[in-house]
Amino acid sequence: MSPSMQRVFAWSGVAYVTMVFGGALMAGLIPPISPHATAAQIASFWASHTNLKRVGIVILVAGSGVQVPFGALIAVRVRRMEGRETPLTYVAVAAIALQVMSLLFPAMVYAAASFRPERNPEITQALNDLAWLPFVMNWEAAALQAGALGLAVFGQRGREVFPRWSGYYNLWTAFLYSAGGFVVMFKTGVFAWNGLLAFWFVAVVFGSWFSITTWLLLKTVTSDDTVTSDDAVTSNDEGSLAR
Amino acid sequence: MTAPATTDTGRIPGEVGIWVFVLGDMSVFALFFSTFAYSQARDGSDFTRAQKQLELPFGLLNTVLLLTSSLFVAIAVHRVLQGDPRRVRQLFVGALACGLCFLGVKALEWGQLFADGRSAGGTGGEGEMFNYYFMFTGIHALHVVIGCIVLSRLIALDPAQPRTDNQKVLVESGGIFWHMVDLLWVVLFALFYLTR
Repeated sequence: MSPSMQRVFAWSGVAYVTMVFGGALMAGLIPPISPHATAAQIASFWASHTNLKRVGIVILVAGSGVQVPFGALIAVRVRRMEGRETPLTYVAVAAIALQVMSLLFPAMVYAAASFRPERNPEITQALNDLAWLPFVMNWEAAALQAGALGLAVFGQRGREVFPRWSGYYNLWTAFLYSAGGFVVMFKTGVFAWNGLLAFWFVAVVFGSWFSITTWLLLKTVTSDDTVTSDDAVTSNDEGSLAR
Repeated sequence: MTAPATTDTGRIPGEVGIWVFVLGDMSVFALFFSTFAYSQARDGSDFTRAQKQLELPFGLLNTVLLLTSSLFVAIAVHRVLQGDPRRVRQLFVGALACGLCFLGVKALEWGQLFADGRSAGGTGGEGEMFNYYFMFTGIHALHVVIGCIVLSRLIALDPAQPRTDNQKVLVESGGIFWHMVDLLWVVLFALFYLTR
């Protein structure tokens, strides 16, 4: 693949995060409504600025697939780090597919919640729960992706594709995502779905991971060019024969 | 890839990457401690009343266990770096045993609290305290589990063979991680059992 197309794939990580946070802001998901709110409060939340919220949800749904090129580029880099047998590459590919669902599913339920705000408030509350719980609690796909990348970095032999510190960074990130995984147990406090640790902290970790990983991927595009002259004949890696 | 473990002045112990992890993790725990202190100040006597239900002997015993294990690890790492193979494996086994005992004590303590009807998910000042308690000590216990896996890896190194530079870095990085786990517990212990 041409280096410029690889750069587009890398930047789709940042594009994804921009759409997630932009869409969530428009949909009124940031700051999150309290899990402690009554059915009437939740119904009135969805009844106000409903059209703006729906546009935000449309952006969330559209954005859910934008990270697929980014994830595919990660998988290709993981494969280069792994060598002949590539189980971590398969984990990375499966994780990217799950990542799409992690956003798409709650976004569609938010859409349903916003669709008839005049209905019985308790139904809206149930839909609100059904969207918010997975939105924050669906951490495994992101953790699998970061974990596969981190383990691949530690396993790389010979030439360095990603710097070794990024292996630690990825495993640390994978671990931190789990802070969102307990929201079903709490209606108040820092581990609730609107809490400092389960929501705000994980949101920062999530957003910065996509930005930092995009940057790291962009650096591998440059190193591709140098690789080409060295072993274009022996390597059948993507991009090496492109020019 | 990894810097050889030399004793030049200005060298970084272990490898640079482990410090990314350690400093990152310690920042997260610093955030944990701040939120705990904030809630404690806000909820006042309800919060400290819940803290008084924690049994000091459990916490104290666990502190002694982890400090002892850290001593074992420190001696073992020092010997590995000096190229002295005496009892290195026994020291790591001792540290691992302390780590496993720590988890056993934790399980007993949690079991007793569960039997008394305490769990995560409560509300009010008292419930909030137990939310912090179970989440923070649970996350810390997961660190201990990871640390035990790392120690098992170090135990598996053949003591008869001289250490390669990569193995020295592995041993030193493992030691750094274990000391961090110990340090975080000391702060957790002080927060939960002593500030009440």
